[in-house]
Amino acid sequence: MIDMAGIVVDGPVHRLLDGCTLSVASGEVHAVVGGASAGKSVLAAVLMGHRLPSRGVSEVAGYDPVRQARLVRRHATFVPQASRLDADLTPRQHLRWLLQLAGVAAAGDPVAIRRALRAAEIADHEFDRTLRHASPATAFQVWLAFADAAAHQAVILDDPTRYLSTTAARRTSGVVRRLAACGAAVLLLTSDAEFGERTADALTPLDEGRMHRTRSLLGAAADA
Amino acid sequence: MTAAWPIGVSHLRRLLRRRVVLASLAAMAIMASLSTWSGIRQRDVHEKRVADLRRQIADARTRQTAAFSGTATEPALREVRDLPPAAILVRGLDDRAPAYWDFGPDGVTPSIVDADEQDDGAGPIIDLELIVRVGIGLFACLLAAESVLLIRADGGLAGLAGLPLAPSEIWLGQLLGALAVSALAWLIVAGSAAVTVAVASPGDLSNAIGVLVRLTVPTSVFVLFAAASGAWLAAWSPASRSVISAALMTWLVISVVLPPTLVAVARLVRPAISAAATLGARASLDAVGQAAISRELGAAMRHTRPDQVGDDIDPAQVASGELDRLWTKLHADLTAETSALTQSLADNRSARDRLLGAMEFLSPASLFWEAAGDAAGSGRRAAAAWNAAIERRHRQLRALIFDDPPRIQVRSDRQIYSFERGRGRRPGDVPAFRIDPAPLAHVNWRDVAVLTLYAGFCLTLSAWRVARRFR
Repeated sequence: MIDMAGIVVDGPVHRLLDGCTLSVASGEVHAVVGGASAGKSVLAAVLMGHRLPSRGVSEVAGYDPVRQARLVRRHATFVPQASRLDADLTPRQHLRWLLQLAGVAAAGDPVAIRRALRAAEIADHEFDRTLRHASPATAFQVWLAFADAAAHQAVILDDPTRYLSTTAARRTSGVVRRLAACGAAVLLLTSDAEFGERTADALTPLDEGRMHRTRSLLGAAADA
Repeated sequence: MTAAWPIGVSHLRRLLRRRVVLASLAAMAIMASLSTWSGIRQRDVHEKRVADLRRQIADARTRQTAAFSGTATEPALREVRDLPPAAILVRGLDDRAPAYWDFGPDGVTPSIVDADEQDDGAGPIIDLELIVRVGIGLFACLLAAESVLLIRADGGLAGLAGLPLAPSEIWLGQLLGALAVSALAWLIVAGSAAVTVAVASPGDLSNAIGVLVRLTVPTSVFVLFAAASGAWLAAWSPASRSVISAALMTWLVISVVLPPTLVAVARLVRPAISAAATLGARASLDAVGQAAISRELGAAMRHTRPDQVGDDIDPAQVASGELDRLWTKLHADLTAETSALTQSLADNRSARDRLLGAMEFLSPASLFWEAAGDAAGSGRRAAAAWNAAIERRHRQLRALIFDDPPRIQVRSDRQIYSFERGRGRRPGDVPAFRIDPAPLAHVNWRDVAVLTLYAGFCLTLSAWRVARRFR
């Protein structure tokens, strides 16, 4: 579902991504772990078609991000690094709004919205509570609910736990895994190695734009 | 483009929750109320003055001995200028335009104002025009710049970039939100002005609402231009702080610095003769003319009796019409000289008006300034209409009184000599004359069209830049 081969992105001063190759199948959570300036956000931008690679090919949900960026965005969810949503809207309002913008039919279906919010492990009493008064993880969970309601085949998360506490991050881990269980390919770009190890089926370190050897975590995930 | 609407609505709601936005709206509402209240007070003062002037004119005309000699300025022929009803909202040139005009054989003498100031209207007057030009314009410019910047600065919109939306849809949605708040600012300002009129001067309410509706046309286009210029700046700059500073500076230059600068340039290129100088020149011409008349008549009499300047005037000279011919010649010379001065002043002023009219296309704020004045009937074009009407009135009076010098009657009693014109015209001979300022207000579609072109230009460039910058 998410494939890339030999992706190279040259920045104005130095190379940002250098020959990145990765494949995430349906139902798999793949974590790419790297520190600041490792190239995680650039990788996400390339996969969502926001940035053109200097070299290499990629495919997300069966579409080429270079030539079919709109189709990629129609079939994949991208959760940005700072997924701040409007603090004065409720999760229900947010989800309806995002679905409406994405042109998803579920936007007009209150039952589907409620089901997606529950699937994202947002408590019923938080559905209509503004994000200002909700837990910090709720914004991230709204995005995951969106991916669920839109039934996207690929989900790319850019450092989702950056502004979350350890407890909140742990809470969202199960939701991410549930998305994969529903058949989505989830690419987790994170600086939180612990979150990556806990959540993903496979982990690839990323350092200064270069990917290292992928490590399978299937046993560890099963243990968890 | 269907997604632009929900993005715009969401952005509008977000903006309306911000304290700084709410505080700005409240400040503009207060300023609108204060400026309208001050306008009503100024109008009352003006009306009191106009009533005094009218009373003086009525007194002068009903006096038993009243007659127009036609040799000098006649206060009894004074025309008083009514205040445009909308001047309580948009001052325009009002407090710099003459309150009355006096007519004489040598031309029209306005009440004391500085002619140089008549053209630019520069002054620390706060009215709805200034609130829109500087206040709402700056508000729209900064709001649009910030809203478009948020496309990449705010996490929420970074998230939107992952949705199947074109960057131009997000850009348009954000811009719509900013525009909606700016439109709301105008509604609040107009509403505050209307409420103030309703409370302080209920009789003017229907008229004020008409003006506010007319003003809405140029205001909408001007606010669109302001927002478009902010969006354009934001689309080009990489850093948010520099964009906000650039938008602030740009707007101050456009709305505050540029309009008076253009007027100053026009004044430099076309220096009109100031009213004070004109009045001085006319007074001096009057004095010279009267002295010349006295001298020439005296010489004529002395010629008759060179050895004795006394009270004995040669009846033959009077009977032969020599004094009449002399008087007519002097009158014609004086009139020609002063007409030339008046004409040169009028030519200079109309040339400057044309120059200003041409230069205002360089400045959208000047265009709005003009359009707002036109909508209220207190602008430069309304002033030009007044001046044209006054010139027509002067031509009428010239034909009736000034261009027909009556016969000289010379009499001699205790004075060496004296002369006076023959039977003067009575006030009843002069037809009534009055200009209704209300019909002078209109929507200036030409300025509105040019402002629309400015706005369209900025919007197109901004959208093009956004489409190129974001995939």
